[in-house]
Amino acid sequence: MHAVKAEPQRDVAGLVREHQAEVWRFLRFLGATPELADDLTQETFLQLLRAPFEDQGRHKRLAWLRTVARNLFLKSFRRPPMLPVDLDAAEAAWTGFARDDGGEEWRQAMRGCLDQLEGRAREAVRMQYEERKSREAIGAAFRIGGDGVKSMMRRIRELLRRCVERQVSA
Amino acid sequence: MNEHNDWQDRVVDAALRELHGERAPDFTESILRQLQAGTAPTPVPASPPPRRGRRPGLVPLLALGAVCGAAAAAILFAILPVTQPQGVRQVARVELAVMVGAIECSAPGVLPEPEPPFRLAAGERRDWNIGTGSRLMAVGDGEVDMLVRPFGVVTTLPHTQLEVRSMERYVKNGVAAAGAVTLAVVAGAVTWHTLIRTERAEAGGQLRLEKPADGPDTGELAALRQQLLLQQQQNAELQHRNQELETQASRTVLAPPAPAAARPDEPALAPVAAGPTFDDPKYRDALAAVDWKAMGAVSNEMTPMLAKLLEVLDTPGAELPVDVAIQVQKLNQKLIEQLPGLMKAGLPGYGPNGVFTNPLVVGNSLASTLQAGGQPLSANQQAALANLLAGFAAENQSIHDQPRDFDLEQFAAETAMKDRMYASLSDQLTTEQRNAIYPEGSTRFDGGSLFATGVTMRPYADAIVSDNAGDFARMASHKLEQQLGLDEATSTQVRQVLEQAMLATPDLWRDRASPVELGSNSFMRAGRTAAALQAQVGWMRQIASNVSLTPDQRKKLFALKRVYVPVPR
Repeated sequence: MHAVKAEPQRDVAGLVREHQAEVWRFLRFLGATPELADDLTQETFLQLLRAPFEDQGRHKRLAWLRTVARNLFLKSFRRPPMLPVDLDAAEAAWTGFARDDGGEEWRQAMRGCLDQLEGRAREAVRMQYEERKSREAIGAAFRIGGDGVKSMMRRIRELLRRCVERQVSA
Repeated sequence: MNEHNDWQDRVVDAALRELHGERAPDFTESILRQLQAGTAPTPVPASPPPRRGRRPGLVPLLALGAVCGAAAAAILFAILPVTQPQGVRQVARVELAVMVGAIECSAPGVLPEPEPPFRLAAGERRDWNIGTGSRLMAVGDGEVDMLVRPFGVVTTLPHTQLEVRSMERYVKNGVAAAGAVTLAVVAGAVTWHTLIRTERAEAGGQLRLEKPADGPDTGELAALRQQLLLQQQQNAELQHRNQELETQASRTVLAPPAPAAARPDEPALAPVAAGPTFDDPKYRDALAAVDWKAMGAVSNEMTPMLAKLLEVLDTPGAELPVDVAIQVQKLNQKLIEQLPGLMKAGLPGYGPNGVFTNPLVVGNSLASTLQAGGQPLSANQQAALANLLAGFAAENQSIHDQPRDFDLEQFAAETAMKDRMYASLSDQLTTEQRNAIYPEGSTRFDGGSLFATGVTMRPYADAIVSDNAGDFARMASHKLEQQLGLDEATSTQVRQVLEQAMLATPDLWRDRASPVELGSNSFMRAGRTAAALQAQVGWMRQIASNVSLTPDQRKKLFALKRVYVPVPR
């Protein structure tokens, strides 16, 4: 009989420090508010640390944490805003971004691409992400409606995505 | 913008937020404090989300609820399901019957009589007294199929570990039985199949098993209503696609052949007893042990219900007939009861449903179903079917005995043979008999008919809703990465093979997903999984030949049982 083995002593603090940012960012990416992401990140680690989990390395550990986090995220809704199949697509997109370095290469490339951004596009990004201005405020500055701001921001993000992917794959 | 691009957009959004100062807080101290305090697992809040910082006060509220619940339970214990009081280790009985693979079970600390660990292999069954903390582990490198009575068929991936987190008990004839069990998936993945629901949980998740409902006011009903809400939501979004389906409705695996000539003057045989109509000396005892009369009665009752259910699930705006859904599930349970005996006898077939669709089982089910419906096989029909079944049974045995590289090759060969078998058997029926066995709409979706290969497909089909070949390749390679334990570089190579294979099979992308395929019930358009299976055997061969895998990864690839089915969005 092979009983479920208790996990050997771990560096709990080290484990949390190593992965907490990625779990939290993943939850934010799924659409969790900062408050909900705080709560679910803690719960995710508590599940990891309480469960008899056979550690098979960083890669598998992260996959496990993401699975728990997304399950907890779904369960936090009375009516989930998405289906598990949609979350598969989400996770695939996320792992393409995070890779093995938690997304560092992607972010570095994004910095370079942001520097290339000029004019209204740069200003719009600054207003939304740096000054945290509302869509209405940005619309007023650019004399366009809320939907126009939404479309413009999507176009800018698409430009940035292409730019980043060119650099990452180069 | 489609959903795939939406997630890509969110990736950029997340990166921009981080570059502009958004940071994750440090939770280390808080988590360590909670671990040291031994805080009970915290229930996840339902929305609205909590304020920043950890929520206080939920545990006392739940404890109060448990006290009130215990008082009510004391009065109603004898007649209603009883939720286990917190902090008291109660025991309830389930029955395990392993059909494929082997399991090990233990129930550490379960009171009042701790049960020693035990192992069950294929064909074995026994009662198991479980409590919170009881553990079940899949042994060996293969998937495990088991009947967990009263819940139904449960399938686990290799090396899956499950732990009972909570349960609801009810008392029947003085014995406490489990009415619902919540299992935590410690490792691997588990799927619970019923005819109308497929629930799956992976490591870190939980799965709730529920016995078929006895009445309308149950958790199952609530779950079905929840499914209905989701279904209606999806139906509304996809209504326009339904028009496309109308033109494709005739493309089915089992296209009804030309009606057999009516033979009104031919005498029907005397009503069959509970024994088999079609026998085989090798499996005589197993076939004799099945109550075919009861099987026929159940199939006869279920067949039109299934067709009706599928029709509703695929009709935008229609309301799910919950009573029909529950009745179908209960009837299916009666069919499942017969499976362990057949599997123990070694009737060849790919998994439990492969045995259920073994030619000998199909022939006897068909005869007893027609008998129950008042349209028994004539003597001539019986003789013709006996000849056909003997041929298909021999072919089935040969497929089963043939050594193969991939497990799924057997599944593909068996499915192709059984498609031919069902068509040949159908040819021998009169129009009335055929209409009874295949009521209108029953062959449009896998699982809609008990007399089609769709029932073998559903437990293994893993729908991947995707926009295009690249999208599918990314998601499927992600699943393979987890299943086979691939590193990133190998996973990338696998993805390339998958993408090329998908681009080379445009037929898989021809029919867009219908509403029922996007629902949570896992019903797939007839033929879609079979086509994906054929393609998968091809791309698995390419991976085995062209991608550098470790011996362990190769072994897992050969033993893979999941069929990744592209479902074009």
